[in-house]
Amino acid sequence: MKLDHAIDGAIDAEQSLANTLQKLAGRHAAEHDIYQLGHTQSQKASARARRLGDFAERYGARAPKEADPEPGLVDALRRETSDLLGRSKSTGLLLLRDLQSAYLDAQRAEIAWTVLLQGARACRDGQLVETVSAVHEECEVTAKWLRTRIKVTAPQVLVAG
Amino acid sequence: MALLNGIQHELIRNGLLDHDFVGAHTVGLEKLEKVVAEYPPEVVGHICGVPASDIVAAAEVIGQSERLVSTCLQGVYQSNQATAAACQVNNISLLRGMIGRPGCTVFQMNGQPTAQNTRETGADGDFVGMRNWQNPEHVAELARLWNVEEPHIPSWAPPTHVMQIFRYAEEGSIRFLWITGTNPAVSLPELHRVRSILGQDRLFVVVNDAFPTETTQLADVVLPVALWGEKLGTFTNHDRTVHLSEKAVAPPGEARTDMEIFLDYATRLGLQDKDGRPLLKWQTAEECFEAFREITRGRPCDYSGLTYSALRDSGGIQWPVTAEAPSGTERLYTDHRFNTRTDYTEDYGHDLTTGAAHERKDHLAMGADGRAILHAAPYQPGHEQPDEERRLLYTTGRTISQFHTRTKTARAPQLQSAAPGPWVELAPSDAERYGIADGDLVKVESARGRIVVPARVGGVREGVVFAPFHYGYWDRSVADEEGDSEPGGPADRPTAANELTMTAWDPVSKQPTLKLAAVSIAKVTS
Repeated sequence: MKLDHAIDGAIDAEQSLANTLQKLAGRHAAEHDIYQLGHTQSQKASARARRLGDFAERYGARAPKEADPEPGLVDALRRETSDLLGRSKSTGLLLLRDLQSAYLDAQRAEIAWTVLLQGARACRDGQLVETVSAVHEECEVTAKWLRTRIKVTAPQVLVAG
Repeated sequence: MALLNGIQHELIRNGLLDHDFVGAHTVGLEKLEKVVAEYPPEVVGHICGVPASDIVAAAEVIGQSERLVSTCLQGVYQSNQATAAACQVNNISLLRGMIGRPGCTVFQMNGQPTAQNTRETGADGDFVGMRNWQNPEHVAELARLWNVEEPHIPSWAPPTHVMQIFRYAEEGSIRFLWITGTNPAVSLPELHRVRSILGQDRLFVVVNDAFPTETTQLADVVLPVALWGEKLGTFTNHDRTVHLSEKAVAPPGEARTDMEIFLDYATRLGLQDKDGRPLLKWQTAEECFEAFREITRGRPCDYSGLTYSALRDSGGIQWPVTAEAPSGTERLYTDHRFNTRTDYTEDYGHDLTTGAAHERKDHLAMGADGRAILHAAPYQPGHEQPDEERRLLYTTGRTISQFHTRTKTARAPQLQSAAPGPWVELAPSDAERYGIADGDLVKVESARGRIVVPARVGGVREGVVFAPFHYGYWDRSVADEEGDSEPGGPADRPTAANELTMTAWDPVSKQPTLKLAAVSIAKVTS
């Protein structure tokens, strides 16, 4: 049984998504919705990783990090820089690039949950199936939010910016 | 949000649902049950600061009533989780099967009659006649009705909302902004930001208004316009009643109607349809109405059977007005069929917490097909919470004697004398804690700005400060944000409640969150 690999995979993907979203939020703080939702979604991603805590122990995988990535000073610095650069021309292209990269991270997490769900089903671990199904849907919402935001941003940046 | 989830929790727990109605005419109960199960009265009471027994009692009143009319306005729409909460109000009526008959309805109201019109005519950026920007058939239909090529209808993204427009103006990808009959320099959040955006040299700002405002002060060009009573046109109220508003007097001076101005602009731009004829084929208000009427045919707001002469002969007519219902429709949803067929619906919907747009396949998968959708969402605290530095929760609103930014009401002596100046309200216990007496001048400050206004003690709950949003600077003199302040401007004596509010909006409706900020308060003088 190698279910620990799939658990590691989902935890890694979500923790990495949490970091990416937090950076996205800070770097583009002048986009207020991205600042606010980016942080909320980042916290949700690390909470999803933590949902696997008991299962990681049961199957011998690495334990998820206890705390959310700490925004603190780095976030304040990123935010200030974003406000300063918020009126310059290149911010739009940077935003589009960072949104795309976050979207790919969200997709990586989504497919990691799919892999784990398949494993959980084959192991007949009903508890794990239930947990994974619930968070899988939430992870898809994160990806969908990024997709919606990309669809809004792309035309403005590419044509009007 | 927590409270409404709590009430639904109680309705479900006590079996107070109309099961036949819910089963036949709604979708989404299973998910709703799962979400609201987390909100028993004790949990909700703790979040909301009310006794759990009051929540039980409120649910009991709703659950035992034979009629239920709910109304929502900005108190819901400009709060945290606005759209999600508004949907829960709908849910409660649906769970009780109380819609589409006398005494049973929901009024999700708009701020003013013209705000209903803008939603129907496409002036909010939505597609005219409540068409769905993601539905290619709706787009094709519009292109046919307007005789333009389909790619000319901007259907690649959702409508650009005002907060996003201001952000584009801030980062420089919008350089020309035309503001019609509103006053964002007082009504939008975080006013120093709004002023600094409108004041940019690289942004060309045109404002249509009848009176000088804080926004016209920042404009490059001001076009004086006719007000109601000085022009002919229709208004539609929230209960779908269309009224004809006749021209009683001629507009003063050089003032023209908004429509004349926009038609003139379209002519000067040389806007054409795909056959090279003028894009706008109408000149008068009545011709414009007739063109709009045709575009609404078959849509929820169907005006197809309505004429100016019918409106002149009546006190108002409720849409839909069709060949089958020539004298209008008093009540909607009497057959308990809702506008949720995937091909017909105005919108495929959103995730309520992120605003992620659903697509056609998501909407189909819900299988609503004429049934109402019960939307569920967990409670989430607002983006800004009181802390050590700013211990109080700030909320903004209205007073009955003033409308919006007072540009009209302050010119009516009776209304102006009834509510001449700004103030904030705080609870007696907070007043005592901060050493503030009724009438003291106080400074209220958020992370974004401050106001200095007299205090009124009483009327709000502990921990909350209320400020009416009407009181800007146009009737004093508006100071330059960067430059030296003139007496009475925002830099000298700030009074506009939105100096303090945050740049944030509901992810679905995009309405600014004007009812939530963390503030500190201190006495300035007695």
